[in-house]
Amino acid sequence: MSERVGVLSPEGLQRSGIINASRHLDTIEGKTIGEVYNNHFKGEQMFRAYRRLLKERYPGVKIIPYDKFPTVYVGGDPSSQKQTAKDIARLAKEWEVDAIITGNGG
Amino acid sequence: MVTTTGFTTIAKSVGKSEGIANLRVAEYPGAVGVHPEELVDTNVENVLFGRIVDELIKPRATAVQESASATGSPAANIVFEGTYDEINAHFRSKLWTDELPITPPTHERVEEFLKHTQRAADEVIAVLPQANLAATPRNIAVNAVMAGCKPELMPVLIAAVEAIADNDYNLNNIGSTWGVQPFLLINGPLAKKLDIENGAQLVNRGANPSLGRALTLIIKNIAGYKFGSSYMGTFGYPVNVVISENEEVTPWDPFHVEHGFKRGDSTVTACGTVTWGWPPAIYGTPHKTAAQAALKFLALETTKKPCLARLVERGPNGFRNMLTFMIAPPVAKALADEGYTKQKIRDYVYEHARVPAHELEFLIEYGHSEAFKLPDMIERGLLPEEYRVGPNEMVRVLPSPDVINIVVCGDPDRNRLMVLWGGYVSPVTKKIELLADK
Repeated sequence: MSERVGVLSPEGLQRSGIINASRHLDTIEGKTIGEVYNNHFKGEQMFRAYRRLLKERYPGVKIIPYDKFPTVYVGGDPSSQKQTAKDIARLAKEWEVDAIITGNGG
Repeated sequence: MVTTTGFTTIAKSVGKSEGIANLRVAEYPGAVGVHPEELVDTNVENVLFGRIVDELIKPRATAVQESASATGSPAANIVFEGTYDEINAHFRSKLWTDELPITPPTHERVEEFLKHTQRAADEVIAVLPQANLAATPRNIAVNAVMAGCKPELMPVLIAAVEAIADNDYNLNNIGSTWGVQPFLLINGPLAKKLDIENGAQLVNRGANPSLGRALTLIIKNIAGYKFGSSYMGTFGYPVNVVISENEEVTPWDPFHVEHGFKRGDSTVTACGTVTWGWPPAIYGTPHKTAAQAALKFLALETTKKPCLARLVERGPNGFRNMLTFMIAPPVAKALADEGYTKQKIRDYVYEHARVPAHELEFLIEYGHSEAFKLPDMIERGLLPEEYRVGPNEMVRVLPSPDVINIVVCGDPDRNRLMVLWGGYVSPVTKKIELLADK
């Protein structure tokens, strides 16, 4: 038990490259904000509140509500979930969305 | 991305595994499920909304561009040197263990495992979510050594890694607060050859426990599910298990033959279960508070326990029973805030956990060696007169509120509860005496 030995790492090998998250917005005023929802954790109430607060504080903001985007959900499998993410990205580009608020994770 | 308390780390780590540094995450304070409507609005307006705006407009430091090739420690390099105790302490500090002592994965021990595969030591077998790290024969072997496996189990573990990596297995989502427990099913002639048990106590005997433990460590160290940061099971789950089919006595085709393999093939099937207990997530709504929902769920879950026919018994000759309610702190707080003491919870569940008399009678008559009906149970002193009722009347499933044990535990930010049934035993508690007590 007192013998000293060398050991190897049990961790998997890091492979993928890393990119940065999208650049920040200069302001929210006048921007188009999309909503993406997973039907979880009282999001209906929370997205309603975000919409109200965004319009109160940034009157020129345009909001595309979550019912216009596909729902992200824990069902399906990794392939179907990735396809949903691609569909959301395509729509966001098509509708010239500047940022997306997505939730709720928990 | 909006998260709730406790889930920001997992959101950022999933973002990173998917290749995005500095994911913009805004955290809602607390377990939103048990918060009343007014509190949700207050938290959004006073806390969360400001965080969302900050995340949208705040500049971020540029992440260092990492190489697209393998960036981990060179796989065959020694990462630590020390005694048995020092190695165990180091591995625990790195969150590489299942909290139990491990066998030190020396180069020599790992090499013994690598002799049992034709795959190159650093060949990528699969990339495992959610950390998206590469599994190789070498790091699979390291985890198998740590778990106490025999080297000849190596082909089983490589097949197991390929199975859990498959899109259909959906390893991406096992970190759920449900507490999903992966397990392996082994079929074919190799099982017997490798001492993988399919008989009595199979999950505890032969190679099964070490294989299950190796799966636990692989999921932790290669798939990257770390307890409390990316594996979020509210109450966790017991050790991973391994089962094997008794193909000599089964009257049917064994599992792998049913699924298109030859009888002489040996297979590993990646499976999962929440049999340890599904923990319902408790929500409050304007129509029912979180406390009211929690009480209803406790009563409902109590009626779903597997042996109501025994649970209902009482008296000196009645079956021994105990129920354990594991209640996560936010749910406990919601109950306490509405004035529910542990005793009030017990009394509520005793009164409300009911099933139709005919259902209980079916369980008694067809689920046991003694073909009793309800009146027989009354005659034998195992049930009181209140069970002499019509078939559709709702009867209690608990002999007394006192069989319920309530323990506040689990993820402090999660709105879940779980009901465990423990037949044959009653709880016994003893004080732990320390040296200083004497």
